[in-house]
Amino acid sequence: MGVYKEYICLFLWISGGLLIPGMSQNREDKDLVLGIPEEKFAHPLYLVGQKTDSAFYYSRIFTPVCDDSVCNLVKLDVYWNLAGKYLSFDTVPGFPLTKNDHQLFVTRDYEKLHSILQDEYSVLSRIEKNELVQTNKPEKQDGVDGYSGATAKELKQDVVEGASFSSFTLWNLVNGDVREIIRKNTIKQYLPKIEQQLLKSHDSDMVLLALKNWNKEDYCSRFDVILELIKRGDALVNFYILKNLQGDILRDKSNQQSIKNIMPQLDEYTRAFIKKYVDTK
Amino acid sequence: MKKILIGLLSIVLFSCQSGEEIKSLLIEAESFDEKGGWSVDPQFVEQMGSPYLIAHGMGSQVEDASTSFMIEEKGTYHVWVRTKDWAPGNWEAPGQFKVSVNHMELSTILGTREEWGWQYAGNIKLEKGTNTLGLIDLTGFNGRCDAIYLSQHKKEPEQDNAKMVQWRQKLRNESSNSSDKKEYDLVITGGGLAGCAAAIAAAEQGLKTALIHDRPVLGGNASNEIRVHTLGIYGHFERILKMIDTEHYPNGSPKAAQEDEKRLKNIQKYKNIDLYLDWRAHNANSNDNYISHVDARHNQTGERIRFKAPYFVDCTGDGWIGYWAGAERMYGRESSDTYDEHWEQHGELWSPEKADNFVMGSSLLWRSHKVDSTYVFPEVPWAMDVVGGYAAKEGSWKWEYSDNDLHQVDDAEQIRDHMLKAIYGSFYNEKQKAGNDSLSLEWVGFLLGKRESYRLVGDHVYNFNDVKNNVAFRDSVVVEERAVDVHFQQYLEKAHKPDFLSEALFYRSGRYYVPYRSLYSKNINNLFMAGRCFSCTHLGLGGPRVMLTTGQMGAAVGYAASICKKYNVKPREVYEKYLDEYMALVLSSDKHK
Repeated sequence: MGVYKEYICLFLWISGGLLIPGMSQNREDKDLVLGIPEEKFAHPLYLVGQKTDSAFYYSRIFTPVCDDSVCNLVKLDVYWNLAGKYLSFDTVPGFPLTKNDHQLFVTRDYEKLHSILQDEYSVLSRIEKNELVQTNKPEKQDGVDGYSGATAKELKQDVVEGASFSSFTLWNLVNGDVREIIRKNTIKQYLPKIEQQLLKSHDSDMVLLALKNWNKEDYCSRFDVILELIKRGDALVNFYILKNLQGDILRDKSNQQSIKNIMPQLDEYTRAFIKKYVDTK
Repeated sequence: MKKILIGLLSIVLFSCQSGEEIKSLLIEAESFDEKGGWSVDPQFVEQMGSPYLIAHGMGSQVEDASTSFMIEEKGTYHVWVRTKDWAPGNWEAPGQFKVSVNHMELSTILGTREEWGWQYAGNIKLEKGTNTLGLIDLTGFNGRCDAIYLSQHKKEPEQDNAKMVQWRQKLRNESSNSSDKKEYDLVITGGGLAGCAAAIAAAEQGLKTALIHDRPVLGGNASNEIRVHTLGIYGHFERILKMIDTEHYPNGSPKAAQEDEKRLKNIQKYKNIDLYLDWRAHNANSNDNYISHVDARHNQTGERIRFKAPYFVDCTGDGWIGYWAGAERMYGRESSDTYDEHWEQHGELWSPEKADNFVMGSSLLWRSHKVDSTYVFPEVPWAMDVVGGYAAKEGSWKWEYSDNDLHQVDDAEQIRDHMLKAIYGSFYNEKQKAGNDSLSLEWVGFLLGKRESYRLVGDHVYNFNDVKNNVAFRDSVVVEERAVDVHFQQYLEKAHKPDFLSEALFYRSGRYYVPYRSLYSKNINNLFMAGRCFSCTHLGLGGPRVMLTTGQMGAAVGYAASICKKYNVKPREVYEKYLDEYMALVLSSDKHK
């Protein structure tokens, strides 16, 4: 979670929803990213605090949640990191979340919804809405290779009991196309503060978003940053970096020496990984 | 079958000795008269040289394998066994076994040398006439025996893999040509869903068809040996595909055996399909970009057949026929700009900025159940480095292994063995939990269920944009609706996850279509392909790689071959000159018969 770790650890429960301190307070310092509703995401989207060390995205979503016969309106404040990864939500006064039978969410329902939305590879990513009501059939026990038929067991884990349509709708809204919109905007708004925040993050998505903006010269001139990143041992980031370090950069003897110097500080896995690409003898 | 085997073996032995100064003979383990509890494993022939016997006992010793052989001259014979320790390290090898000669055990424990090679087992006095040889499993953990070599001279047999083929041929007194020749209208290699559908479609159109498959059962990933259920839609070929598909039972279910029976019965109904089960193709000869024949060898008897035909279909999954014939092929994840396949939603995990080999991995499915009594599962120290503290009692599609530095073809045995360690280690950890005394391994696959391998290049390379834009081609012969999903290893994002678990990324696009032009080779003029080796990018494979979709490809190719035969034209010309007739045939498939 990077810089948001402290936020996540400090959930405050107000009106049954999640309020992350800092985020709600800082919302005044915001830039409109998406003002005109579009097909992909029909809610105003803001980048908050982009000149600070803790920028994030925020949107107040207002959406109908429908089952076969009834629709409820859901209003919710949602927060994402700079790479479009869901961080948290907050209820809006007067709009508590309700279940299919109109019962109000209780605290554990809000907690579960939060953990569902955090799971970007939820079974909800691979099923259609109509499958929500089909998954109790025994032959649907294994949702394999992905798509057809999620298991009843998996679904039970991935929806709030009695609120499967809300869970499905909100998951797809929060983890859907908005992620791409946010990522593209972060790249467009690429300020030094933003880059700093991306590179400091322990979320591989955030780091890669920054590195995607680097060219070969950046790898040479900022090799110290690269070494710091490698030391963290993030497999995806290291894989990306090492692919980009091939060639001239690695032929540079001082760079090779720098890598050798940090080897003792690396975990076994990262060392093995680096040895595949760099002669560390 | 037994009589035939003994006959062949005898011929081999007599032949070996005639004209040889050194009295020696080679006995292929896969040719043993009685396999006992050992299984024939032909998955890695191209890498290590031969099918072999494997003691896949899931931790319980398997029954002995045995065979008889003839000795022309009595004397003392030195015994070497070609084997491998598949998990070398600071522990006892997991797959140990011994050899017996005339029911006398040789004391050397085998299966303990790193890498495939000959291990000396000892010497034994043999009398002229019939003798017997046995394989005695000691551990139940996948000991493996490729061949046994007996010689009156204590000279180590050929160790060089490159020279091994000729050395074996010489000992078996084989020429490089197959003695038996068969001619067909269409030769299909690979009896998975694609191959079966291709055979049915071609046979229904009157083509004399050979279907060569390297296992004793049809179905490939859907068979009872691998047990993945079929997914996707039927497209234009519901009638054909329902003859060979599976129910949507959980993966790993033994119900797959019933589907194997159904599939076999339905294929056997076609009198013009000659089915060659347990035959493995090992060569495809091409001249001037035309394949003239495919050579195949029986996995157990060693018999060989040369298959001639005007048209061939590669349904091998790994694109072997194309490879041998010199077809253009692709492997790995293309860089995102090669086919403009970038999707910002998932960035590097979806499509890398720079090409790499982090393809979708291969799986072994497995399951356990509780039995009536206590079930003892031995310690598996050789698996613990892989699993750490991870515990599980069953597998799923997420049990999958890929590594950028491991090739899904060249390193397939290592990948399979990694998955075996993952399964045995995780199950061992599960067994340590309270209440699991009676938890028993019910089934563990040993044949890899591959997702991705080489793809042969066709006139059209199917890619993510074809899916995203729902391109309706003039020659759309395959239709699919399932979300595109590509997999990545979980540890890439979460360092604490074991390296044998994957996650999937999904792109939902509605209905999309695969064109006929992705189903024949760009440069080999009489070669079709269907299945995961069709012409596509890594991401293009993401949607249509499931078995009903690959079955659609097979059926489409079977029909195309009938048009080729009718007009004596190349597969490409079906698109260029006879597309209307071909599409009419495809679209009316469900009305045929």
